[in-house]
Amino acid sequence: MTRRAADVGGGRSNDPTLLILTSLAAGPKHGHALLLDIEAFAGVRLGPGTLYGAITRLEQRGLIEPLGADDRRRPYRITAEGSECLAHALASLRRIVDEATARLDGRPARRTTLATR
Amino acid sequence: MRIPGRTWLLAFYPREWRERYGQELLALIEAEAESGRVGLRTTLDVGRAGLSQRLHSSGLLGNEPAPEARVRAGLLLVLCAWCAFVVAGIGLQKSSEQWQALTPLPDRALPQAAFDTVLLAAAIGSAAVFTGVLLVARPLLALILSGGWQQIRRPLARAASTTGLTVAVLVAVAVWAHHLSSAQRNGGDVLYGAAFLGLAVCGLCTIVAWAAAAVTIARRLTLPPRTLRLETWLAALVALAMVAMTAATSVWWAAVAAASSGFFGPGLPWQLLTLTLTMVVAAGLGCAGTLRAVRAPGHRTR
Repeated sequence: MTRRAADVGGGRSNDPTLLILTSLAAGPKHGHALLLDIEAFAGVRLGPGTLYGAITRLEQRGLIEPLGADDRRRPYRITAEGSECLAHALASLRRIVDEATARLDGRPARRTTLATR
Repeated sequence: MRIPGRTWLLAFYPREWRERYGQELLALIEAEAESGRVGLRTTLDVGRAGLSQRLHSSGLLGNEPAPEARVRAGLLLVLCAWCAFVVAGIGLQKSSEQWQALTPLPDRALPQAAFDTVLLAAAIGSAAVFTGVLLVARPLLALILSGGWQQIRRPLARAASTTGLTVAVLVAVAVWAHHLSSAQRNGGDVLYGAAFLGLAVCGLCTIVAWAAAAVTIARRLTLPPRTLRLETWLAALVALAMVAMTAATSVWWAAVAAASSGFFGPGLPWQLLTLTLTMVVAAGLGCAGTLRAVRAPGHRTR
């Protein structure tokens, strides 16, 4: 797994940081809009604490940035580095999905595993 | 819609975090409340996330803190664990009085060896902590000379006044004890019992106050890498001493229980169980702190 993929929750599909970046890839959102969007596309309902823990980490790493506050709600948007990170994480996930699909279909695996050496 | 009842949830988070994200989080919780989604699960989620954020901010969790901050956080965790261990150790020492008299001589070898191990490990651990304090004497002096006294004055004054109070209560209880019979001192006199409990609370507050002062001071000291490495070695020694004491205490406890069934009295010895559990937790935290310090990149003990 690449370093960039590891930066976004180790490339796990249900990781809050990956879900937030995916949601923000469609445009800036504040906390509540993020929760609703993530629930809609991933079927995962994040808790407020979990969401803001992930937002804190993403902002510290420069993968998202805050926009001007709207009352007490503050929207966030994905940065260029965040988009790049998301692309790497998705590529990493895609490799696993392709491999799993190939194995389920009975096609030969593309990589040599320890068991077959 | 503001819900003042939810504001307390922010107390789980460190102050800097609250200042930056607090209102946003509250606004989100309130939006969730409007859709009837706030319950115990949300409270637990916010509490867990807040404590996790505190651990991140103190340098005990995550890779974001600088290596030096991670080493420092690990060392301070070991120091706090040692303080908790000392409290449990003092309680255990009080609970284990007269075990020799109640244990038959032929069965005394194993518990005696375990007890001696506890004393030896306690001496080694104490010496390591004392050496660690001596190592930071120069940086502490430099901090004071550079005007840092104002930053550390308050916790030091608190610790010193708590110590003074404990000494005063100790002297009063000791003088009182001389006028009481052995039966009165061992539960016969309710007032004396209450005074002794007060002394124990004062002692506990003193240890906590000095630990808090040490943490406040240590965060402000400028320590060279060599000193940090030496402190890491000492922290590892302290953690090992705690593990050895916990293991030896368990052996002592089991051996005494096997040799003298009357020593612990009827039922479960809750006091000893609590003290031993405290020792186990403190030893675990000591090991975790040491690992945090040792694993920080660029600050290996080698």
